[in-house]
Amino acid sequence: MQEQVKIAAIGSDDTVLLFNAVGIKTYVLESPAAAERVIFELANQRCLIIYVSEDLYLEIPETLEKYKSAYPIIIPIPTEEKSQGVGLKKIRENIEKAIGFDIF
Amino acid sequence: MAFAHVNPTRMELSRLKRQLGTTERGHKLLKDKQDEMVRQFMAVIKENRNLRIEAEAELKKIITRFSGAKLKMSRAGIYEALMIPTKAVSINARAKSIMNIKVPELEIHDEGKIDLTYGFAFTPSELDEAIIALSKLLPKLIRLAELEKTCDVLADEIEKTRRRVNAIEHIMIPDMEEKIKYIIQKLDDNERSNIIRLMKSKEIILNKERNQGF
Repeated sequence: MQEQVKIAAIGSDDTVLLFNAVGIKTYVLESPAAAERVIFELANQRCLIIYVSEDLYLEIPETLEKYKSAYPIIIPIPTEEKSQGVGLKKIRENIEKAIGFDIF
Repeated sequence: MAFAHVNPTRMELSRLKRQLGTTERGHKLLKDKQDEMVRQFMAVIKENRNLRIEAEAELKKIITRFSGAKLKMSRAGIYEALMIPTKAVSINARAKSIMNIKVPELEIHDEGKIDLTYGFAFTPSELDEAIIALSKLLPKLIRLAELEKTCDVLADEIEKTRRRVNAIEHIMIPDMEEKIKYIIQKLDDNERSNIIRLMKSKEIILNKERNQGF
């Protein structure tokens, strides 16, 4: 990994490979532990955005907790045909945290 | 009472009064900060939500197409086709400050042109469509990342501030007011007992003088 990776995508199946075609560095990883390691490395290289597939995203809460500052941005994306709604759930949690109740 | 040792002296009283003033001013400031952050947050979260719904729907379509392509190709073929990026997106990152909280701000340099880098002979058209659609979606995905992080950071900060505001409003200020009340009461008590002592002494002295006089 010599070149600077600014956007990366991590997923547990081939679907994330699609991101490779649009200039995003892609990792296909099976285990959450591997994902955590890769995120750590990417963060050290000052990677800006890391897209993580929803299933992996749910498995790595500690890592997400660690990167709370502005960068890197780690966000979930659906990689199956049906979204699990992880992203929307996160939005709802944020609203609840900020104003105390859910308005959506 | 919550306070075990408070010296009922005038020194302490004036110190507490000054402290209470400062605390109230701090409370007002924090509350204003919280209100402003909530306002900003509401503006961002709405956009965030809409963008997420939009992006997920769009992604779903792309993934469906890609699944179609996957069925028609070998795994190795897919790997080969997607190995070389069709375009390079470069983004510039800065940190914006909302109420002194650092939030990300990304700037996308997107040349817009897409060059499919694989041979068309051995790839199904679904793959092309999926890639073209995804590259069109990319700016939205980047904006989404920016918004989501902003919301995350803001929500955390709002929660923290709210806790602080509540602690000041419901614990610190009542506590201080109670202390001040206690000191004033104690001082008044002392004052009264002093007056009574004086009156009593005067009475005794007067009685003595009267007795000697006769």
